[in-house]
Amino acid sequence: MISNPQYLDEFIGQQTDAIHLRLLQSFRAICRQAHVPESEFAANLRQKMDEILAETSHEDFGSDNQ
Amino acid sequence: MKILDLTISDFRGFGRNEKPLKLDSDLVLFYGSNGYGKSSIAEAIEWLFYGATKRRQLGDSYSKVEYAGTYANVHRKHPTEVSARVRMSDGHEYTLTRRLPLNAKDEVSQLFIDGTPKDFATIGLNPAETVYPVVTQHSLQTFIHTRPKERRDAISAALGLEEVTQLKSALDGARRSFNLTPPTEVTAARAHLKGFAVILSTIPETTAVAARWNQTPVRVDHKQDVAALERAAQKLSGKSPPTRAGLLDALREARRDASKSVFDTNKISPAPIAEAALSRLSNGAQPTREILDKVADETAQTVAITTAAYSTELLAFWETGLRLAPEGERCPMCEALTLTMRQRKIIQGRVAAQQRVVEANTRLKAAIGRAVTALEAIEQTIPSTTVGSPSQAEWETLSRLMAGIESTLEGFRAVHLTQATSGRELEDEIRAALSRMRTLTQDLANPAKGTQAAQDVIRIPASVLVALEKHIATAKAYRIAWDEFFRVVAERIATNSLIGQIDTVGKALKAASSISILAAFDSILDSSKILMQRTETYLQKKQTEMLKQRGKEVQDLYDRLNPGASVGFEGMEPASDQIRLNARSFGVRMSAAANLSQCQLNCLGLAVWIMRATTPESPFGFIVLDDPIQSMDDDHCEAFMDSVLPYLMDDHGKQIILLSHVKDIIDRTAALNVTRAIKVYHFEKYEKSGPVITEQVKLAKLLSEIRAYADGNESHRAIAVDRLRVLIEQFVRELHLKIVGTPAAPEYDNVAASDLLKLFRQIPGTSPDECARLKDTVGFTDPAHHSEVGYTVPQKTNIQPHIQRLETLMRKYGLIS
Repeated sequence: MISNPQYLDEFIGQQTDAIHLRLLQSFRAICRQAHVPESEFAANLRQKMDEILAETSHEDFGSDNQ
Repeated sequence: MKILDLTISDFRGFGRNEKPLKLDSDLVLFYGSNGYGKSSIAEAIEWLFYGATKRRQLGDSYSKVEYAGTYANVHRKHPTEVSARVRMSDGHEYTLTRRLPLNAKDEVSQLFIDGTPKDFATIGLNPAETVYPVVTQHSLQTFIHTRPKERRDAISAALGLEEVTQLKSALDGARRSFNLTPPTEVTAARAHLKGFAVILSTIPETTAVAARWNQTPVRVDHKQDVAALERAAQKLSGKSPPTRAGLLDALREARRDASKSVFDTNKISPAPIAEAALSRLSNGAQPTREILDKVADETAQTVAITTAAYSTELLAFWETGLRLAPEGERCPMCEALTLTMRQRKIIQGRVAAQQRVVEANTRLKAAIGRAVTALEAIEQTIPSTTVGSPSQAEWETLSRLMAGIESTLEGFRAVHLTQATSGRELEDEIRAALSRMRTLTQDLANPAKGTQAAQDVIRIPASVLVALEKHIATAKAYRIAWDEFFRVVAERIATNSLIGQIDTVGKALKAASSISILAAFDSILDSSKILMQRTETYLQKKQTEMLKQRGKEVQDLYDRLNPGASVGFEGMEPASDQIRLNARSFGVRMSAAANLSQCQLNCLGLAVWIMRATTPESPFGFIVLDDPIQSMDDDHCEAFMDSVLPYLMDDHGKQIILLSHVKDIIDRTAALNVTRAIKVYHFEKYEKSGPVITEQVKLAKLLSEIRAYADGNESHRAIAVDRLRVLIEQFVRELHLKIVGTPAAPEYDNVAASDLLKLFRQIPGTSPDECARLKDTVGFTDPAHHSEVGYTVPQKTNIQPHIQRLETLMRKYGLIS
């Protein structure tokens, strides 16, 4: 279904947090694609959360062997 | 935008069809029995503009498999297609088509404008949920009898907030999934950190860290956890290097010191260079054997040459001397008879033999030199391949550490003893060989030692090689035994609390990446929760704002359907994850869903759907109402027809497409709107090819109107009587046209109904009896009666027989179906 885009756009425009914006932009992109079932929306956000986690910089101090 | 005509082909209940239904009227009424395909018309319009229907969406939510492919007609052999000619508000007309090809993947349809593939958006048509123009019987109460959240979603969609409600639902689902089944790196990091909790709880600096890490699931505070671990590391190492790498080095050093205070494994560990030394010994074994063999050979040769020189030549010399003495030449020095030519040769032979002895000795010394060099190299390498011997006290310390697994220690001690012994034996062998080599030449020259010396040299190569190979083998076996033993002993040493603490703090510091992962995981969860809260706040704020305005419209529509009721709907109220539907009963507030009647709830559902369709921004200038008055009594139906439909047409300029299985509703609606452009269709029957639909032309419409007026008040009934007379005139003229084939003669223009009876008698096939009955009805409708004293407007029961009489006649002659 085509939805009224006005309110989601307005809500996104009010956000400043980087993680919020990444999640919101991802959601906006998929929910405005044609033929995407609503059940995919949550899966898409979950995937985005995984990506954000994976991108978190990991400090590498080598192996645990003393 | 209004719909001018509609063509439905191979969609739902409609079979192959190319004939459009003309809808170019303000009010289009469809009457048909249940199961004749009325709803297919409503769904066709839904599908055309939205690519889906509410019914199908609901079905898909139950079982996608069961509902798959149900847009297409079950008998279809051609593409499914719905096409409408529409007129936009600016006057432009387009033919909009949605086509579902045969075997379309995922039922993805194609859009056409005037036959060209083109999205409807290109002409500014972006149909949104919030302006949904199709009200179907099955969807009226779906948002009422549902879970609070689903009701909220439905009403939010009606208000245009669908995307925001979907966002909240999607965030909720994503968070739930992220939290319950986190990525594997998170579960691994949790397990990793949890393993440190017990020992960290024994260190004052890290007790808070341990408390967090021991929770299920593990909690972290990245900044505080790392700072606490660094403080603990500084305390345990006694150093404060500026970098974490330096801190880890300091911990390693502290651990080594702590390990030594328990047991210094260097005492029994293979030397760091043992491997290389063993390799040298192994590689040098055979060459050394060859060198020693060479010494033995040279020794044998030297002995043989020397013996020969001394025995053969000396014996010959003396025999010669004895033989010559009586007759020999005189020596100029001693005047002895010794210097004969034979004697000279003998002396020369003796000199040559002596020379060979000298040469053999030279070779022997060279061989001895090489042997000494090889043996000294072995002698120097042996300490690198031989383990140390702990004191008795140290063995006892090891015994205490290995308490409970003494057999492991005993097995290792046996290997250790073998290795230490083989080292000593090799050392002894090498030293003996060296000693032998260093005095060999002297001892060979000494007749008392020569024989023994020669025998010793022959034995040395084999004995050295045996000792060497035995040592190499035991050293290798020790290396293997040590590796196994060290794993056990190191673990026993590490259980020492100080070492355990150092190990744990070091490993935890090195596990900072796990802390980072869990901190990031928590951060994403917290952040998404905040985002959900913000979404909810925004949603409620918008709902409150919008319901102030749109809620009034819903209330107004509801009140139109329920005028003056003391019990009924009383507004919508946003709340967390729901929208409350309130009702009132004589001033007392209550839940609408739980307390209102089915009729009242239908009115509420209808009001909400109509509110959507009348959204000012809607591109649709029409509204489709599919059997919207189910469960409504006569008063509610009358209110719907008398108040709501005019409201839609007059206040909102909507074209109305109304479908009903109740003929009276269609007839009454037609009658109430005689001054408007109306089209009436009847679903006559349903065949395999789809519904048979006929437009009800003038006579039928007039008959419907009369029937409707007959149901009304006195003034309505007066109109009904008047219209009956008009109907008689129309009937006779159309019957003439149909039977005779030509319109009535001009002389019958503008004549009264009574005069048309003459024309009726002339039409072939009409009977005198029919004429008499028709005359009776003409008399009933004669306006002359209306001015008579005592005339009263006939009651419905008086009017109905005349209506029935005319309907029977019209049916007999096939003027109505």
